[in-house]
Amino acid sequence: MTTDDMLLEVKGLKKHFPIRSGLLRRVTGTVKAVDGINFHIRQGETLGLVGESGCGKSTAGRAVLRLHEPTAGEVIFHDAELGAVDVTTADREKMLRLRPNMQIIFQDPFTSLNPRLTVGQIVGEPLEIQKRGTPAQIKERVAELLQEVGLRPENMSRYPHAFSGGQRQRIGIARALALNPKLIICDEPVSALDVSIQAQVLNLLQELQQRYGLSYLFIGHDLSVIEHISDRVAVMYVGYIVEMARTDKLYFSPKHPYTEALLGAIPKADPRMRHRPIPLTGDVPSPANPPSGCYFHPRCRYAKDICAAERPPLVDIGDEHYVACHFAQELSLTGVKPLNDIPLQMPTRKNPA
Amino acid sequence: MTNSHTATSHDDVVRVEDLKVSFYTDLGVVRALNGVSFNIPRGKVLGIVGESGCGKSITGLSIMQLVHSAGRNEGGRILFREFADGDAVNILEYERNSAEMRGIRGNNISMIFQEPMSSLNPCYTVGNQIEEAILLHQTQDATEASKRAIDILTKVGMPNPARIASSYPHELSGGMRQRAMIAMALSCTPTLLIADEPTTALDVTTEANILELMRKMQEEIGTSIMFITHNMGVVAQICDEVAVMYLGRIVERASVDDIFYEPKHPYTISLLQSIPRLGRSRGRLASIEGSVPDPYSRVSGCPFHPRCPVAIQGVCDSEVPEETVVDAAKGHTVRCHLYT
Amino acid sequence: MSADATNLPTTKAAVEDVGQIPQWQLMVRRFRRSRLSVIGLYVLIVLYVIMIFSDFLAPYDHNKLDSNYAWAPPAKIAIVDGQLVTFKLKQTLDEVRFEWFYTADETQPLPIQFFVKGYEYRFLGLIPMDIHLFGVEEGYQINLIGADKDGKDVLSRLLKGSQVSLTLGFIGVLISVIIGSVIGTASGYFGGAIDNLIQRLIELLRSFPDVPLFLALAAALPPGVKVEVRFFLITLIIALIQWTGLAREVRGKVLSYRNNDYTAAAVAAGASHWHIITRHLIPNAMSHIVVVGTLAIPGAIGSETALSFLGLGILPPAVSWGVMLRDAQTVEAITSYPWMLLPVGVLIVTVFSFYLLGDGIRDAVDPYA
Repeated sequence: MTTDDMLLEVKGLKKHFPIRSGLLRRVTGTVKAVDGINFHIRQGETLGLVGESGCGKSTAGRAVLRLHEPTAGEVIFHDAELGAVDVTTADREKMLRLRPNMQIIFQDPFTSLNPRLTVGQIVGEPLEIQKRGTPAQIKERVAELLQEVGLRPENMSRYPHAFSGGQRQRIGIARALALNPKLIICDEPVSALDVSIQAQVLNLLQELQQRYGLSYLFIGHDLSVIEHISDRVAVMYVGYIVEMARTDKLYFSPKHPYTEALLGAIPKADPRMRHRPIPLTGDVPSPANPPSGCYFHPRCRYAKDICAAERPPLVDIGDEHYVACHFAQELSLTGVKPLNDIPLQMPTRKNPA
Repeated sequence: MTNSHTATSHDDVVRVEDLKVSFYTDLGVVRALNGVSFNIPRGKVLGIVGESGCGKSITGLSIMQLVHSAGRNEGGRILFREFADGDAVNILEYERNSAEMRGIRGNNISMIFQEPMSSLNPCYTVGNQIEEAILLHQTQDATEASKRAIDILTKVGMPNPARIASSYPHELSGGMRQRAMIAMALSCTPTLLIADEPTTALDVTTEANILELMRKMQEEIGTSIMFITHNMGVVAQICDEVAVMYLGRIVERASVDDIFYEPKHPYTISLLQSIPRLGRSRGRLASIEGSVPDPYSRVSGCPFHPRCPVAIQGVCDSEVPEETVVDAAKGHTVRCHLYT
Repeated sequence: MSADATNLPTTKAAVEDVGQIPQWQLMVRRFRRSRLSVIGLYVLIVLYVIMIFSDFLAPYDHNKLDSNYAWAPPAKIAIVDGQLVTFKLKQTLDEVRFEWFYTADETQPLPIQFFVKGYEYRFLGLIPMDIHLFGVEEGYQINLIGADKDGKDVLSRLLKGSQVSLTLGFIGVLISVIIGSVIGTASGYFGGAIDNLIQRLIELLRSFPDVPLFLALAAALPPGVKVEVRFFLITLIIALIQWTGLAREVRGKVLSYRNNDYTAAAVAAGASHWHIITRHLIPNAMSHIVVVGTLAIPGAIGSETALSFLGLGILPPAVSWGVMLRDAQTVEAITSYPWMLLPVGVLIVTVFSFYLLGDGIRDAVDPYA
C-alpha cells in the first residue's frame, strides 16, 4: 500500500450547525451533521459514500470543498505543485490555486444550472473565474467540453430550459471538467434521473474517469448504483462513518450491523430472490440529539452494554477494511447474495426469442 | 379496438380498456394515455412500471377520476367489479363529482401517494384524518370511528397507536407518515389500493419496512394492489404481475417472473439491462439511446421505435403494433412488430 | 394504416427553438398573455405620454387667475358653421344662494383655435416653447373641465399636476429600490452580524408609524425653499421610508439563491464575492425587484398625494393632484362643482393601472423566480 498515489486524506472532519433561537440568536444546540470522519481517496479511484437521509454525506462532500466551512478536522489534498496542503486552513490565494483540482456535480439537474445564462456561459464560467484564456479561447474549450460529454457544441447558445434532465446533468459534468480537476465530488448525480438516463450518465462518468484518471467521491443512497461504480465504499450513519472497505468486501462480507441491515433492505431486482429481511426498527436519530455511545446501538440487535457507553472508533481490522463497532471481529453478518445471472438478448426478426 | 387479454381464470377487480387521456395546453396537446389496456387480477399486486412521462401516474388518477381538470378523457372504459360474483361498472360513466364516484373513492378504491407530507393535512391529527374516511363511508358514530382508526393504526404496525392518532403529521417521521397514509387508505377495507410510488421518497430501510407492511396487509385484508413505480427492484419484491408502460401505452404485460426472466419487448429488455445488478455489476451498463421525446410531439407508429435497437424500418415507424399474446396460460402479452 | 400513422406537425413552441430564447423574453411572452395587465401597461403609457406633453396640451398656466371665470362649469362645445366653438359666458349672481352661475351665450360663439401661442414653458425641461394644442382668443377662457374658485383652469392644473404626481412617486421608488437592493443584498449575502444589525435597524425604522413620520419629516422642511428643491426633498423622504420593505424582500431572495447549487459551483471554481453577487444573485433577484418596485409606486403616489392634501407636501404655487384635492375639500365643491373631484378619478385610474401592471409582471416572473 503506497502513499504515492494518495490524492485526498480527510481526518477528523466535523461540520456542526448551530441552532439559534431567541432575540439575540443565541446558540441553543448543535446539529452535528458530520461528526468526525476519516477517509482517503487515491488517484483514479472512486470512493462511494452511502447512507440514508440525514446521515451527513452531502454535507461531508461539500465540506471537503469548503462549500461549508469545516468546524474541525483536516482535509489534505496532494497537489502536483503545492504538495500536501490542508484545504481547511489554506488562505485565499492558495485556495484559488487549489480550487481547480476539486470540482463538484450536483443532484438536481433543474436547480444546478443558472436559468439566465446560456450553456456556453455556464460551462465557461469556471474558466472565466480562473482567467484561463481569452473569450475566444474559452469558447473553443467549451465546445470541446460539450463534445466530451456527448452534446453538440451548437448547444452553447441555448438556455438550460431547452434541455432534459439527463442533458442538464451532462452540462453540469462539462462544467466540472472545465478546469481539469483531479477529484470530482459527485453529489447524488443520478438520483433524480430516470433509470435509462442514469445508465447513460454512469457510463459517461466511468469513461471520463478512464480517460483522465479522475477520482470520484460518489455520494448516493442507491446501493446497487454505488456498488456498480465504486472501488471502495464508506457507509455513513448520523454523521459518522461506520464501515469502509473495498466494494466486494463490504457487500459480500460486511462487518457492521448497520451495513448488514442496509444491504438486507435493498429490494433485489429478481423475483426469485424474495426473502424477508429482518426489519430495522426505530427511526434514524436526529443529528441534533444523537444517542450516547455508538449512535446505532438503540436499533442494533447485537448491542451490549458497552455500546451505549462508548462510541467505537473507526479501526482497520485488516486489509484496509475499517469498521466502527465494538464487536467487529466477533460478529458474523450476512452480506448480499449476488443476483442470478439472467442473460438477456435483444430479439431479432428471425429470432423473436 | 385492441384485444385486451385477461389472465386465465382469475377474475379481475379492474379492467382498463383502451383508455385515452389528453391534456390540451397553450403549447400543444399532450397525449398522456394513448389507448391503455390492462387488468388487475383480484387479490393480486399488479405493478405498473415506466419512466417519467410514460403516463403511469395518470393511469392511477384516471381510475380514481382525480386527473387535473386540464385532462380530458377521450375514450375507453374502466370496468370495476367489486365482488367476484357481482356486476362490473364502468367508472368513466360516473361524473367526476357524483355521489357514486365519491362513494367509490376511499371506500372501494383507495390511493396513496409518493409524498406523505403533502398528502396529509398538517392542520388535523392523524386520527382525525383516518376517521374522516370512516365517518364518510362506514359509520356515523364518532366513538366507533375512533376505535376503528386506532385498530387500523395498530394493524399497520404503529407503536403506541393511541398517541399516534392524536399526533399531527409533522410530529411523525417519514416512514410513520407513510404508514399513516396506508392506514387511511385501508381504513375502509377497499377492494383496490392504488399506490403511486409510495416508497420512492423513503430511505431503503424504511422502504423495506413499508413493502413488508403492504405485503402483510394484502394477505390479511385481501386487497388488490396497483403498484406504480419506476424501481425494478421493488417490482420484483412485491408484484405478482407487471405491466410496462412507455409513452402512454402498455408495451408488455406478464407475470413478474416472466418479465424478469423472459422479457419480450425491446424496451423491457433495455430497461433491465441498464440497471446495475447487485453483486454482479461492473463495466458498462447497456443504455438506451436518446431520451424520452418531448410530450407535445407525436411519434408515428410504435412509440419506442426512435430508440429501439432492433426497429424494423418501414414497419415500426408507421404502424402501431397490435397486442400479441405470447403465452395465454400465463397472461403474457406484448406490443411489438417482432412478434406479430 | 391506423389513425396514428400521420405525424402531425409539432407545436409552435417546438418549431422555433425555445432553447435560444433567454429567460426575460419568455417572461415577456407570459406577460402578454394576461389581457388585463397589458391594458394596464397601455393606460400607463398613455398617461405618461400625456404627462410629457402636458404643457403643450394645457391651454393656460396653472396659476392664471381670472375672477370672471370663478367656478366656471365645463365649457359647452358645439359646431357652428363647420367650426368647433365654445361660447362666451354670461356671469350672473344668484341673489338667493349668493353664488355665481354661468350661462353660455349661444349668440356669441368663440372659435377654438389650434396650435395657439400661449404661456411659455420648457418642453422636457430644456426646450423653451410657447405653442399649445388649443385655445381661444385673448380675453376669454375655455375651461374644458371647468375652473376653480379663483378661475384657474382645472384641465391645466390637472395636466401640470401630473408632472409632479406621476414622476415623484416613480423617482422615489427608484431611489428606494437602489438603496433597498444594495442593503438587502449585503444583508442576505454576508449574513451573520451584518445581517443581524441591518435587520434590527430595519425593524426599528418600520416600527415608526408611517404617517406621523412623514408629517414630521415634511413639517421639518423649511417653507421658503424653491419648488424644485421641495420636490426633490419630498421624493427623498418617500424613498427613505420605503426602502425597508424592498430590502427585506431582496434579502430573502438573496438568501435563497446563495444556497443554490449553481452558486456553489461558482464558489468551487474560486469565484469572488463580487462575481457571485453580480453574475448570479442580482440577475436572478432582478425580476423580483421589478415586481416589488412596480407595486410600490402606487403607494408612493398615494403618499405624495396625502402629504400634499394635508398641506405638507407640494405647496402652492406648485400644483399636484394632491394639492388639487386640497382645494376640493369643501362642501360646495362636492355639491355644486363636481368637476373639482376629477383628480380622484385620475388617481384611481393611475393606481389601478400600476397594480394591474405589477400583478402581470409578478405572474409572468413567478414560475421562473
